[in-house]
Amino acid sequence: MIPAPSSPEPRRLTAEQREALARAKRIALWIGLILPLAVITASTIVLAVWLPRMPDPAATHWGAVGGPDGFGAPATYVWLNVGLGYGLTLMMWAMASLSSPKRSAGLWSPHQRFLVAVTAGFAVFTSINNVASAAVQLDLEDAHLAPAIGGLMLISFGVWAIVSIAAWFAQPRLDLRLDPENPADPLPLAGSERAVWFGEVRPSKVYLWVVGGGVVVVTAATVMVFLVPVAPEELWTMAITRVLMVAVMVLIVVLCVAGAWFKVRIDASGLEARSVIGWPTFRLPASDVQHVEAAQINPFAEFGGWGLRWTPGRFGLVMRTGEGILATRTDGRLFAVTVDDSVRAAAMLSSAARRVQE
Amino acid sequence: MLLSVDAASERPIYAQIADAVRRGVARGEILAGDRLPPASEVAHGLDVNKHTVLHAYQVLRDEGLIDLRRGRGAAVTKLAPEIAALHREVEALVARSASLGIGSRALASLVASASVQSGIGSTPPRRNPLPKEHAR
Repeated sequence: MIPAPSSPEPRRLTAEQREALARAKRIALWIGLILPLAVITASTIVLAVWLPRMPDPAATHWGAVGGPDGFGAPATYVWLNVGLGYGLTLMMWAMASLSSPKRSAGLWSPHQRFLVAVTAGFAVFTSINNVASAAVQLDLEDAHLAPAIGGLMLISFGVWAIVSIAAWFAQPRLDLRLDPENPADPLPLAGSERAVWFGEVRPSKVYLWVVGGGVVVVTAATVMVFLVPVAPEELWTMAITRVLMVAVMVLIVVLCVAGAWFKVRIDASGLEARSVIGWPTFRLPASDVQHVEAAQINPFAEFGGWGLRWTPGRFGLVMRTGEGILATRTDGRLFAVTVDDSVRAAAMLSSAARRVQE
Repeated sequence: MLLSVDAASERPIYAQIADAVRRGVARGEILAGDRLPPASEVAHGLDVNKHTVLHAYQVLRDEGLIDLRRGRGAAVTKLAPEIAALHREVEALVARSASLGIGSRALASLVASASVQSGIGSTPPRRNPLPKEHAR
């Protein structure tokens, strides 16, 4: 079963636009789904055929430098390739397909083009990575003899980038969007009236659990490093490791907080979302707003996840599923924020935009 | 939270800001425990002087609707749900008088005479000088 990109009834599209949309979807289907699945299938077959020639246990993990440091059943490669390859490809395709449920969000846009391009690159990357890791240990007596693969990793990352760029340019440039179904009515303000709207972006419980779990894991890892007894000759390396780990932990916590709670202010000049710790701040000037609507926002389907999300032509400060403001800039890019009281927020932004443009 | 002021109105801006907060409280949009935005943010948003906003906050504090504490901002007190409940009662009262054919003017004078009888409104509102930390 192949999920096709769904779209609302494109009744208001011209025949030419319908043709362009169908073409973009057809090409995306080949580049973003059929090609990746074919590549993964081919590499899986190679890995399966090689199974009898693999040492058992096989090398499954390499350190940053030098030979392998993790070992497992040779079949690991087959499962890893199938799971990562098919899993990620289907997930990305689902995202590209689901990401246009709103007319104003674009029946097709650089967002879909980007997801498709990254997927194609990822399938090739995973395949090369797994096939190369298996190839270096074929017919070895003992997997410990396998060489370092740092160079191969670099090459496969490079191939990911190249394939993604090629896949981006192989797709037509198409930005097809319709006017929003429910554009926000501006607030009924008299000419001499001024208004300001205040709101908050708050993370969902799921986000807090995931981030909280991450913080616990990193903290545990840090504590474990501190518990390791230090030999005198290792003093400096250990000191540096510890400082680095604490720094990384603090950085993770700060970034998670900075990216999760925002104070939002909408006034005559536009929208400003400022992190509760003061940085970062995102602004949407009223003069940039083409139209705005209060809408249900699904971060996973439309932005690929929770948090600060960016893809070409689309920026989201989306911390939970539910209501929010969806604004289209004059250049067609999207700006989304999940806030409560979104109807009045959108109305406020709409009146600010109208006033600036009059 | 939506706050608005009308520059053309004869009512002072600080009073209009206080009115806007009271409206939000009456409608149940601003709840006990909520923090009002910092005065500087409101001033920026409404394009008014920060001291005008602080004046409004001071009036609301004198009414007991918000608590002003250094470093904690303007916290809405437990008076908020009472005002929201009162607002609902007033709405019921207005609906009832409308069903009796009594207009808002007549109702207002009824409320005023009831206030005079019970002595409300004859005492001037408590006024405290602006504390230093909020006058910054």
